[in-house]
Amino acid sequence: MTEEKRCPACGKPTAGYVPCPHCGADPRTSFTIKFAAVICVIILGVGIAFYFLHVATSEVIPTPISSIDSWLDYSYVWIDGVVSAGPQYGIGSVSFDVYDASAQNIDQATISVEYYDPAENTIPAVGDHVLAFGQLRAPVGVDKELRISFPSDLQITRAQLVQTTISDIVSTGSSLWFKRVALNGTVTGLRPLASAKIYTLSDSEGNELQLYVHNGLETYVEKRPIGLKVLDNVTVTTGLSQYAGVPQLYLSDFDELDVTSSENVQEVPIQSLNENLVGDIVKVGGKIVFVEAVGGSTGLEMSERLLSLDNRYNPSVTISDGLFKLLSDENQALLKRGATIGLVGKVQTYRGAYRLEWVGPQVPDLTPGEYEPPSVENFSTITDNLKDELVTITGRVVDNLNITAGQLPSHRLLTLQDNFGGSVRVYIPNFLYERMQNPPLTGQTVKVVGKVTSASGYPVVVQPGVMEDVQRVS
Amino acid sequence: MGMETFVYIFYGLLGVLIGSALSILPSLHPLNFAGIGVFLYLMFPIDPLALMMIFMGMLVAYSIVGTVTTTFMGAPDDSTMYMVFPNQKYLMYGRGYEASVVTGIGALGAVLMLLMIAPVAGIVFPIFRKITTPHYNWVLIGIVIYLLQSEWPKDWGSRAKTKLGRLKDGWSSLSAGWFVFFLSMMLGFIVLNTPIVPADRAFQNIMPVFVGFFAVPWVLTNMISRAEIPPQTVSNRFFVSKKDMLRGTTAGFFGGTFAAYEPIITAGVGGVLAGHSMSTQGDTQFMVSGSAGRLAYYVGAFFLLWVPLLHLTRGGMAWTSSLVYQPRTESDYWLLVSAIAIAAVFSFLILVFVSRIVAKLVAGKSFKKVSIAVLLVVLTMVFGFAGLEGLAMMTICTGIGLIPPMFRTRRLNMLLGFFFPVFLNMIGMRGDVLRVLGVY
Amino acid sequence: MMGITVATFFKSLITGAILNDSWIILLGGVFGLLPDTLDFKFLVYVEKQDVVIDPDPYDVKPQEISDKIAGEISKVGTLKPGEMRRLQLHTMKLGPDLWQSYSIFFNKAKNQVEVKVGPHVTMSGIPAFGTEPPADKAMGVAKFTPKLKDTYGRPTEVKGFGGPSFGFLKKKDGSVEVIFIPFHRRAGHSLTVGIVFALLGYLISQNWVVGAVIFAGWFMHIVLDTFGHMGNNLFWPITKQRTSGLYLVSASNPYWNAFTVYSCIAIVLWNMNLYNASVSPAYTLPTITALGPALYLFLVVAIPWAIIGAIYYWYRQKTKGVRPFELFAPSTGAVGLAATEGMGVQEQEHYYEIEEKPKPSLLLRILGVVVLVAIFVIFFIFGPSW
Repeated sequence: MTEEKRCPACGKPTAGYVPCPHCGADPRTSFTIKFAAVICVIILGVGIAFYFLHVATSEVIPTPISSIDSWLDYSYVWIDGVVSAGPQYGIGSVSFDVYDASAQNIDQATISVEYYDPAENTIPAVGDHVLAFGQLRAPVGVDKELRISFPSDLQITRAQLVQTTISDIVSTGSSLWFKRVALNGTVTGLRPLASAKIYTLSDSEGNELQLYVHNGLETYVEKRPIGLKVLDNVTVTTGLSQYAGVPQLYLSDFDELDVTSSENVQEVPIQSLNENLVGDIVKVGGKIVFVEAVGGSTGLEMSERLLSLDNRYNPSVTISDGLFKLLSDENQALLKRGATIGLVGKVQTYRGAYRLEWVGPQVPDLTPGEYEPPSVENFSTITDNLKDELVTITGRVVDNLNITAGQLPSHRLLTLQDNFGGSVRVYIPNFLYERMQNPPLTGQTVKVVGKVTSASGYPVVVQPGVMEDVQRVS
Repeated sequence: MGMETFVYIFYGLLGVLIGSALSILPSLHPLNFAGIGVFLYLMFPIDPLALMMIFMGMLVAYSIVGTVTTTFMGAPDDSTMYMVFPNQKYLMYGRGYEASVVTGIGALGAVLMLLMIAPVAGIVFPIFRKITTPHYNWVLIGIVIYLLQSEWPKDWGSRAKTKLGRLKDGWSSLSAGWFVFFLSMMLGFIVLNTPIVPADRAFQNIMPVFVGFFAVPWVLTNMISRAEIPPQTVSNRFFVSKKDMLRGTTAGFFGGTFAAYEPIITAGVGGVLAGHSMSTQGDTQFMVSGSAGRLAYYVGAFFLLWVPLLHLTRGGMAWTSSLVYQPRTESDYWLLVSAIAIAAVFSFLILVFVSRIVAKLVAGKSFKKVSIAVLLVVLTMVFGFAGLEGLAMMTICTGIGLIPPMFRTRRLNMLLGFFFPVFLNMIGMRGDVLRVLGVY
Repeated sequence: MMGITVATFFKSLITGAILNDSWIILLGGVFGLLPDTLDFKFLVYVEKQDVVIDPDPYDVKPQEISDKIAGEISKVGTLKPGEMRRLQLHTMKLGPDLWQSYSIFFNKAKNQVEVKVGPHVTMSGIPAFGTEPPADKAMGVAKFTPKLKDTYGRPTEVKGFGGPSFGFLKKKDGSVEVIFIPFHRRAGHSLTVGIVFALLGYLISQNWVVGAVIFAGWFMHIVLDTFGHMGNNLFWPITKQRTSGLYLVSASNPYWNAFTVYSCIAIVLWNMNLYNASVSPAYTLPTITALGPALYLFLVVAIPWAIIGAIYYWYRQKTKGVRPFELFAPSTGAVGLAATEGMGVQEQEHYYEIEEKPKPSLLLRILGVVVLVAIFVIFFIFGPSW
């Protein structure tokens, strides 16, 4: 077939061959630039149509928090909800929780938000409504988190205030959760946690409400302790959060708390604690004759210290380890056997006996002193008759047994020998032994101050109270 | 919102101009400039959305106008290596301008397809992502195994007298392919773990590798040619069938989109997969699918960042630009789609214009001289961006890059091998392998 | 792709891949591609070559070639039924992208072999102008004795890469059948070899699922191949010859290629969505699961591809008469396609109608489709328990 004598593509003579034997062009399957022009016009038209769509749409499409899951890891999303906890201040960032009611289960509808380099006045509090944009982190097995980097990505609508009372909150369940409330109360307790302190506010009817103060607020923002004391009367205007179904006020700023007055604390002799005083806050004092550390239930932690004031038969004073650690190093060192102490606590009953729980936050009055229980030279006189008595013994370690404590390091059972050939067992719990810098070894002479008790199936042992009650003599 | 946002379209067109100018330079890649762009943004703050539009324009221009270097200068990169052979053939037929414009039309076709899926992208992609997220690992290793297994021998028929002799002949190209894969993998372990380029240029760590793998070997093989580039026909008529255009564009678009979505997979890999699935044949389909795939890959990866409810960060440009700006709303998305469309048309017009000029410039020139000039430019670029260390790296990679043409094996194996360590990192095995190699 | 698809029906493999990074699922893909791997990477090289034709590209003698081929055919005519001799034809490379072309035509009507020397051509089939041989050197014709059966019916071009091989098989009725690339789709495409691999897989892993997925991938490759023109030797070494294909689809048809890949992807996504639920609800869409496989495939596969198919059919009908005239006989041969896979070959255009195209009966072809559907139904029903 003859079409053209010269190829229109390469210009060479084709001698009638189709397609061109030089370049393979076939004129019968060609198209012109008009085809490309048509495509350009279509693309341009569609592009302009999409531009008008851009102009017409401006809404944000938030993602329901309950639908966020690991498949969205590293995505960027909008979330729309109310702040349910926070702010928690850290170095260079603030975190808070947002709840959007997208699921019945609160945890499923809540996400933690990490806000980096927050600008001033752009930090939300519990109760505020937020619209936030950021990158999701939701790896499998880890709580989901939204990360915000720009202040413009966080829009805050401040919450309206609701006047209420502690009893209202306790009785109305969740209806006031995640709202900003104002109420009055009296500080009646303190429970330190690793990252925060929880104060107990009480009203005159005995209703209690927790006040959560994140440590970051004191450390990074206010740079001073909050200074609340037991029996301070306060007015709190802050958001109401919840933890495990329990309502909890969440302080975001010291300005939200106003101490209006302080109650006087009644001073009572320690031996006079009775049922009429149970639940009351009182002040007691006395000489510490023995400090007994109590271990935790699962590990080597110390849960509390029991102080015996003046004698072993008075009601004990208990100081939780968390509160103990709130004391300055100096006061921690002073709080030992022999010191005279004055402190404020709450009277309670424990296993049928009265005791005083130091609730803080007042710092106890401490005067240094010395005390050593009576010394027993002849260990064979240490029998069941001396049960619960405090003794001081000095002897040579002739035996050092391990008492199994499951997966934990063993307790120790030392056998001390006196100069008369008699011996007595000294039981050192593992949480004390593991804290000893120079634990007693066989052959050494040690002095032990402890109470006579029974332990690990041994009917008569001397158990020291704290590490300092065991001292190496030679 | 009023029409004041139309200014962003102009930023996109500015990006097209910048990208077009840079695309003419062989061996350059938009990613080389993304890092510099962010640096400049930090020094001279402009509206971050404007910068994103500039990046988009650069990507579109690179995808469309960038074929000029492949067609007329014979300097391909990883995404154009499958087009370079037919494009160069057309150049030697005197149809270089036609090849350039036809590939540009293929890219326009990809843009049209992108516009068609834009309204449903926000539904389809999140569904796809939700279902496929736990399966990335085995899918990726499956792709690597498939590509290695699907390389067929390219022998001219063995004349060996024995069966073993014939087997040896037949496996020479396949063995070379495996060897190239292994060498590239070793190189990947070293380069991606302990970069050789200076620390202040570490963001250009991979540029010498890609230049060495693809551009320099091709230019060197061109340099041994004694051919003269014939006069080029510049006409408004193109002698390819629309059916081939459609088939090539469709294959390229789906391959490029798959590569854009899947981590680690690049445009070249996506193109091969799509070509196999749609049985791509013939020069026209290869050229068009290559350019469509390139656009779908580079622009598509950037596009995925903007899809509402997806915001998937894929590709270097998206990762780099997300440091500056994150698309937030559906409105941002439609703005980008609109800008891509307008930028694509503008880029095509530039392509037609530039192709005409370059076609006239190269006609009658010795291919060897053109290749020498291209090589000098390439060396200057590598030295400028990555220093002497980069040149050394490029030289090593050129050695590897010369194996495929010499032994008739796939260049794709270099890509697969080089990024294999990245894949091992995804499945948590990279540290173990690095320890064995002693580079950890 | 089909191998991976059937592997995803195995729930234990999907969940194993997610939870334990198990790659056993990939065995479906590996063994799905293995038949062609064995054929074109191993068996092609170890095929017995009784006669080799390796012409001199600078002095092509078509008469010698045709004499040799015809001589072989006549020789086979004297053999016992079932015996076969194999002929290897080589290509003639002239340069980096230049080949001396020639074609072989088995003219059954005239009982002769016609060898025609063509021009120099590139890989894509573009001839170089002015390189056709003079008329007296262009053609070679040689007669053969026995009756010939050639199911292809068209000239076979020999151009680039490796040349084709032919087998001449003596039939019981005395005729000689021409078998194109006799190594292909025999041992490497038999169910028996697939069973052997499956058994090996089971014995090594002591896990029946491993054996099953190996066989499933292998089996589906063979099933799909059967849908084309060339069949398989299903029960090698018990059966000796390839069956005919069902002539339902052509390997180079873009519509069926794309349809198959798309359907496979749709099925893989279905299986992923279904089994992801047992790992985490985060990765599953209950809406899709609730559709059920039949409705899902109808909506996602059948409807769009019916529309595309209608458009494609309309376009084919519209452009049927308009074909570019080929300067030379069109390139043919599955070996050319397979050997250049990924590189591009000339599209097969069927210009010459074969006088007796031995297509299987319509009933058999329908049965083939039914069997394929039945296989998938079994996978859909029982896969969740595997």
